[in-house]
Amino acid sequence: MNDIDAMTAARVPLDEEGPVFDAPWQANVFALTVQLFKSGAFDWSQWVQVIGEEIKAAPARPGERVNDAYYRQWTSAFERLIAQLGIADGPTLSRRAEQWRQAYLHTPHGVAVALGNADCPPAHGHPRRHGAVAISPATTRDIAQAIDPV
Amino acid sequence: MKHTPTDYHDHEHTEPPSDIELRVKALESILQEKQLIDPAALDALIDIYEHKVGPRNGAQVVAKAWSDPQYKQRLLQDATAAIAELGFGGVQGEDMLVVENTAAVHNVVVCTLCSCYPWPTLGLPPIWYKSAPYRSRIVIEPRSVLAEFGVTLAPSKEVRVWDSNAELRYLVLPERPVDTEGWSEAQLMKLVTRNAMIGTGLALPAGDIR
Repeated sequence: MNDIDAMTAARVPLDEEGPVFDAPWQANVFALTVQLFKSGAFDWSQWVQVIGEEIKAAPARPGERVNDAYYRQWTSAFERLIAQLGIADGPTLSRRAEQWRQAYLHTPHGVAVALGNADCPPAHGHPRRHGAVAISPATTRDIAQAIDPV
Repeated sequence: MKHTPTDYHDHEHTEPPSDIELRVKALESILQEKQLIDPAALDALIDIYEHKVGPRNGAQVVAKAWSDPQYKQRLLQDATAAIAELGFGGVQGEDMLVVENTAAVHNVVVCTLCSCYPWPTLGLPPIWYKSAPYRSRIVIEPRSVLAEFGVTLAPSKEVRVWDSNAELRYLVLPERPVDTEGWSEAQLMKLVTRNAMIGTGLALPAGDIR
């Protein structure tokens, strides 16, 4: 990396007063953390310790947007905190994330995704339209004859 | 969930979101099952931080301190209590310290460890506050970083950098702009920018809002 690259990489990314979150998941993990804190489950200093370590251990990747990096670190830190608090360990969280993936894969597009779909695809999700879905039988003689001549 | 017949789409499945979104969904569903969070309250909480808590709160504190010497004294002595007088407090605002800019001293705030920031008075931190370059460089070369923000200080002015942490969060009380004698608090508030309260900016000159 030459000097100019180093300077560019180290530039402070100035902004105007933009949106607080870049994506709903960032807002969600933030809100989960704050709500759990407000319930008294942990001290803020405990959180600062964990997220500080995580930021140091997994710094922003080249080209990663600041909020993406920050809330990626936040999410990892929150997972660690959840494990520390004995709420759920890492493997449990990974399994649950995988269940959600399966739930998406098993849920027809346009339908709300529910965790229950993870290993049980909706039974009546997508009937194939090989034939007409409803038939009203012909009643006039002419048509009946045309179809089934006597 | 009861499986119900649905509309007859061509898609057989829903494309799963990114890994990190799935991880957040995992956290949310587990916390909800254990009744440790109230999913109905999450949106309200997000709304508060997206729309209701922001630097206008801090600007109100600053404008009052500029207008009311006794309030300013209380603010400098016990910031948390003085800020609570205006109704602002809560998460990340429990232990506040206000540092005053003067003709001789300019203060600027950082959190070198993560992103500790006074949410009740400033809202959530801006992008750059959370970035690694700001967190490291403001300590090493504060004057150059301030220049990047458009703040050029006389060499004779001392620059103090304050490192926020879990125990203490800082708010900068900017210098009151000249030619604002007799202004109401509401008028003064308009001169107080977010960056002025972090120290990466100055209050706007009086001419900017007249």
